[in-house]
Amino acid sequence: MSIEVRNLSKRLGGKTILDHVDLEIPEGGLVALLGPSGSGKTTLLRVIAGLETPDEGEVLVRGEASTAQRPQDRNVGFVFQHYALFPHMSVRQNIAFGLDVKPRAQRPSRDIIRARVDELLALIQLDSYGHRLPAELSGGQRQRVALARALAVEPKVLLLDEPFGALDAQVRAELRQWLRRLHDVSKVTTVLVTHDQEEAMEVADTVAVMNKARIEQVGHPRDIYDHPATAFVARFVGQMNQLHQVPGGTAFARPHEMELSLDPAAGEPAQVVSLLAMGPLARLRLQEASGRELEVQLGWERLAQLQLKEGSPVYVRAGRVQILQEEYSI
Amino acid sequence: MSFTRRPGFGLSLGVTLLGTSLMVLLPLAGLALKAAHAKPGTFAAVLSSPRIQTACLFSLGAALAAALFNLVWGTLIAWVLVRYPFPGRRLADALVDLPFALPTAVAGLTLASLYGPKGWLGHLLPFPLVYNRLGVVLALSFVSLPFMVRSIQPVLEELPRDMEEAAACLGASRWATLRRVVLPQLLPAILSGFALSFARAVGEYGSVVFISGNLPFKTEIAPLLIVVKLEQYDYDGAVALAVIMLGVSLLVLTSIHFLNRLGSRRHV
Amino acid sequence: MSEPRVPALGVGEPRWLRWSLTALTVVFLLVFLVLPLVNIFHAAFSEGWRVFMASLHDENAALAIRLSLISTVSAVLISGVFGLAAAWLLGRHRIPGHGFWVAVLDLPFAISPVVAGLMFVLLFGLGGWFGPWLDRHGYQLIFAKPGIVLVTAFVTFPFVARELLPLVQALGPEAEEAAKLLGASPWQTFWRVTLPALKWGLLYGVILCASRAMGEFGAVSVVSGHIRGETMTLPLHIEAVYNEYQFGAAFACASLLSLMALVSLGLKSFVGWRARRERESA
Repeated sequence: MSIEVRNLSKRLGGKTILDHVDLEIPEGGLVALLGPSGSGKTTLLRVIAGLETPDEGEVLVRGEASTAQRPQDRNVGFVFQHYALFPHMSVRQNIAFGLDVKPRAQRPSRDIIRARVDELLALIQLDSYGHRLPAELSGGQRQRVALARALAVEPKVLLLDEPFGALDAQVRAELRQWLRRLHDVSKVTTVLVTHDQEEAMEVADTVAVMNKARIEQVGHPRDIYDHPATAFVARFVGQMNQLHQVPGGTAFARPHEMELSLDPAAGEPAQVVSLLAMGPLARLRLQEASGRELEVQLGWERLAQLQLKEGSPVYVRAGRVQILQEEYSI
Repeated sequence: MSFTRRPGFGLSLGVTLLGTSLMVLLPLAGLALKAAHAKPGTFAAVLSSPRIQTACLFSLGAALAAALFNLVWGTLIAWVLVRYPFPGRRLADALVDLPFALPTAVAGLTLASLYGPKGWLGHLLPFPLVYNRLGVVLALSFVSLPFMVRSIQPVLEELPRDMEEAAACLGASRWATLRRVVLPQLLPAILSGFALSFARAVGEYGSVVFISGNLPFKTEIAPLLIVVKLEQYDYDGAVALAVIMLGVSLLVLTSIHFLNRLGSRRHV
Repeated sequence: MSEPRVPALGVGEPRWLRWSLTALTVVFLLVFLVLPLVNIFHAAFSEGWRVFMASLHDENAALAIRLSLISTVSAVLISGVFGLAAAWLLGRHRIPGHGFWVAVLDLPFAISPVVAGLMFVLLFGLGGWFGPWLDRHGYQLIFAKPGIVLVTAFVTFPFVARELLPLVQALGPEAEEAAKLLGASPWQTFWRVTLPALKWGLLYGVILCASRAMGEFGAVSVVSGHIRGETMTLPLHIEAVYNEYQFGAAFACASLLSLMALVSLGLKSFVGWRARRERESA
């Protein structure tokens, strides 16, 4: 295991931020910590980096207990949401910083540092921007520089705190792809904090969903989507219809698992409230007699068969129902 | 910004331009014209007078020493007030403005008594700090301390902490982080506080007359000599000295302006 | 002023250093700032309560207090009216020579008070540009009360404008434009939209202006002529009695001014706190 988080707890000002959290991250993995704001994901990341001190529990990096270590001695790369570039240094100086401040005995020679910076500038596709100041770069370019700066010291693990949170949608999508490719090349164990489920699902090979200071589920993105462990995960990841309360939990079904029919025997009566047909899939919003609204996804062929339009009556049932508990319990 | 004639535009334009012209520009013009009309050789005579030379050099030197004193203590105070939690922090923060609020004559009066031979602090020191040059530096430091603290404090408060965290994660020691990441970003504010302190100290009069004893060739400062010249009805001499002091003020003001622009240029 | 948080090991300074620097700062502030203040009140009462009261009830002292109050009120009014106009004009409009007019606002801060006093002597004194003309028409400004009011107004002239200018710029024209669209007259807009948004800044500037005006010494000293009971402000009166070795009286008057300084410090903290709270809740 590259990173092991054991029984980590932290309170601040009477509020529990981390509540007995356990997490294992394999060597070379790319893990996303996904959760709403205030769920404790950023604090978990900062504890791993040594920027916060936990009240209880420990963090092991490659089997070595690091809880008492200063951030300087942990050799982790940390990328901040607002880049945290040094505004008075050029791009080159920013990237070289971690090498420049090494003790004289361990510091590489000037030529080696220069070569390493060139290599990283090429990696982030900013070869000709080395002499600019951070203020002269766009948001996406700044975040790439921050990433290069973190990679320059060849960290054991790379920690990214909402790295694309301050960027606009298109740049964010591009950088996501780029980060995935970068990880495939560099193979550095990476932990990414995000509140954007699409980002987590697309980039990471393991997703840990956090809620209220706890990790509710860890797994492959596909598993998390198909088999959410708790009601919170079901609601937070992807779209979900909440059907009804049953003994032992709540019944859920995904929009694409809903089945529509014109046959009154095939489900509950409902009415089409809105309909958006785009490409191969149509998205419908239905209202049942009880007033409850449901999201439905349908192939266009099926839609054509049913000849639905806004206001049409229709009969609906869930093809697959999952019963989930509100609170995560062991 | 627009040039549209909003109601009130004419009124505020009139008040602003007339007020500035009458209150600030007219007196300056009066001084400049007097200087231009001064008897030829006045400036040379003023500049070559040993008493004036000594006073001017001492004024500059004492103001510089006071600004240096504030550089050290003002930076420390600003740092502690912004970064360290301690009981009474808000009170300490309000207290920093005391030299602004206290009339300079009152400051001079109490400093002269406190550091005088019979004062609480004066009798503890190997020699009292009145009627000597060190006493003048002390008074100048007292009245200009807030400028230093108040120019660093807001910049330090706005300095993002994640930069220091990034430096720590990259392996930089705390000392290296302070020297290479924090200090360069505080430097424009520190220098501008230094210049403001200096400007205030070089023109200060009220507190100094109480503590200096106004001894010629020893503790006389340039503003005092303007008063002396006026009392002797030597208007040309007073004007010449005033022009020199005004030149120093404008120089400092320009450098502060330049430093502020430097500080804001790096920001996004 | 937000409460600082203690950072993790290695990110902030080590605990022993934090402690020593805090202790050093507190001791410095106590010795360098608090002790002189305590000394004023101690010395003011060192000759007893009766000397203290007599010093303040002295006729010349009372007249000096009166003149100080008059020049302070005038300075505040001048700085306030000018400050509102100048901040609104320079913060909202771009006039020709904009940078010049903003820079001129800094001049009275940078000019030595003694030089400021001299400039007014050169304008209105008997040897000055307008002095002889004024004299022929029976007016005397220098070595008289009007001169004192005038130089006090000069040294405090830009205080309110400097406080308000950034506020006006930050406020932007939107609220005023909205008021206009809702049918408010220009005066209604000013009194009900612009002024309330600037009130804390205005008050802050007024406090700064008043405390400087009350204590101004150098500039006033040059134009006063030091006529007892006539052209003496309180700070000048302190100097006069001090030079006569009436230390108790000097400190009694000084304690009055110090008390006002403390009140202005308290008010300033309060206004700063209220302004911040309003900004944060907005």
